[in-house]
Amino acid sequence: MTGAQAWPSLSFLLEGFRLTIWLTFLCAACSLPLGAVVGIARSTPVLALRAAGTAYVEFFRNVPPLILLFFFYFGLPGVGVTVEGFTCGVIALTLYTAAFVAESVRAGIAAVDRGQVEAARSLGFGYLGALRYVVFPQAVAMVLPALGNITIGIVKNTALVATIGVADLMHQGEVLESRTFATFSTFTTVALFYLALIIPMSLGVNALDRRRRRMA
Amino acid sequence: MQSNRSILSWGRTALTILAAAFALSAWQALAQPPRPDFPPGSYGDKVLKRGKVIIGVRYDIPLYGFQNPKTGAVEGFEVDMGKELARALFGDPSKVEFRQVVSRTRIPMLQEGVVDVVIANLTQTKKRMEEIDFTDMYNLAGMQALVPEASPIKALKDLNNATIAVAKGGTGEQHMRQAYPQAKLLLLDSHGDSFQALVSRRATVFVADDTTLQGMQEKLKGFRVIPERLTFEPHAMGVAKGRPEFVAFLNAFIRDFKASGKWKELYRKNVGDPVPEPPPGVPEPQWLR
Repeated sequence: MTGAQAWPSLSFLLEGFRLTIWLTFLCAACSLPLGAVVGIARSTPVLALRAAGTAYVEFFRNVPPLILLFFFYFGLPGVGVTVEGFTCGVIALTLYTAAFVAESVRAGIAAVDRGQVEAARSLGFGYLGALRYVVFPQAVAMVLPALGNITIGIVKNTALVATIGVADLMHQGEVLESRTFATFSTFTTVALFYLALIIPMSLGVNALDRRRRRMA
Repeated sequence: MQSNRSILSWGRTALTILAAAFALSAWQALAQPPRPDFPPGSYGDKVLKRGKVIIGVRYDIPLYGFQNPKTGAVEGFEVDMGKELARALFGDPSKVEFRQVVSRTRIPMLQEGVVDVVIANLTQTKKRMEEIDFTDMYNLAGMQALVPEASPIKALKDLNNATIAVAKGGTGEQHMRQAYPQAKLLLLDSHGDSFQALVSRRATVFVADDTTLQGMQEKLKGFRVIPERLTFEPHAMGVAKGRPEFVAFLNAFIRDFKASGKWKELYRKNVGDPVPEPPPGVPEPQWLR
């Protein structure tokens, strides 16, 4: 790639980069609350909720996200439901990621000392009150670094939407490569874009981890 | 007098036919398979010393290059052509190793030296000629558009308002972007995914070479092909640059492959009737994009 050609190519990749960021943001914004709900469900004493939570986690954690994506993209139109490729990406990656979030949240809840729950109950908190004001905030603080890692995972998994024709960073890279035949330089540039997004997130996770250690 | 002249003219006609037949058979006898005779140290020499030729073929284009799901074997016109090439090089059609290529990987795999030659529905284009060398043409395909039976799209001019599913990295993507700038392109990883996008109505048109569509006949119920061709696609073998003696041998092989009747024989075996005439070796200038 000569300098004259490199700039239009870069703006072409940048279009995809914007979409990758937007997709990551939406998936994180949807999968964190959904995963928290599922994680709490898995920690309750109510058997039906626990069973539902376990079923969710075991299913979505163990299905390759690409298959989920193909299911929503190619499968659903067969029963008359056609959702845009981008939306398919948000739904599939959210469902997949929420399973991991749920496991982190459950681990956090399990790590909160039982004595704290008993203390809260003895102070007159109900089950939900104890969960909301005592257990959940501590649980989340403990698993924040893990949640950060899961969010980094989302960034990398978004590259899958290139397979269903969504013009994300990976897709733009593939199209550019097929036009220029510059395989190595194109995908190196694509990798640098991903790094530019992930490294700040990674530093953020490290900072959270240090803070958690200081507090503990 | 009258009858004498007519006998004479009949005789002359017969003689002409005889001479023509003789010339034809003499020419066919001359069209012997080429012998590999490479200068020492050249690429062709390297291939000969290795004892097998490594050919990139498609595993996803039925009738041309396709992996049989029952046997795992790779079959098709281009695969058989590869075996004939091994016969021309080594006198043994089994001295060949096939490696899978897809649209996107054909040129990088040549450039990185993973394969000696690709025979993989590869269209010769001007842009690609800057990257690799092409042999003579061995097949002339054309891009066609497939639409659902009930589609309002009747002719190519209707494509401008369509959503067109097409495989990434092929000539289709480039052509559609230039020729139908208002159309929405849906770029997917394979012909199979692109066709699936048409089936699931995510796209209103699926564009592929007619060679691809030929292999999908049983799936095409409920769809119709727009008869006009979008493009001409001269299919030729691809070779990495800087191997003129190897390309010259491949060209001699392709000429013999067509002249000896092998081309038609293998076309009938793989693609079926009607068998067209083999295309000329050099594409018309207007076919090259």
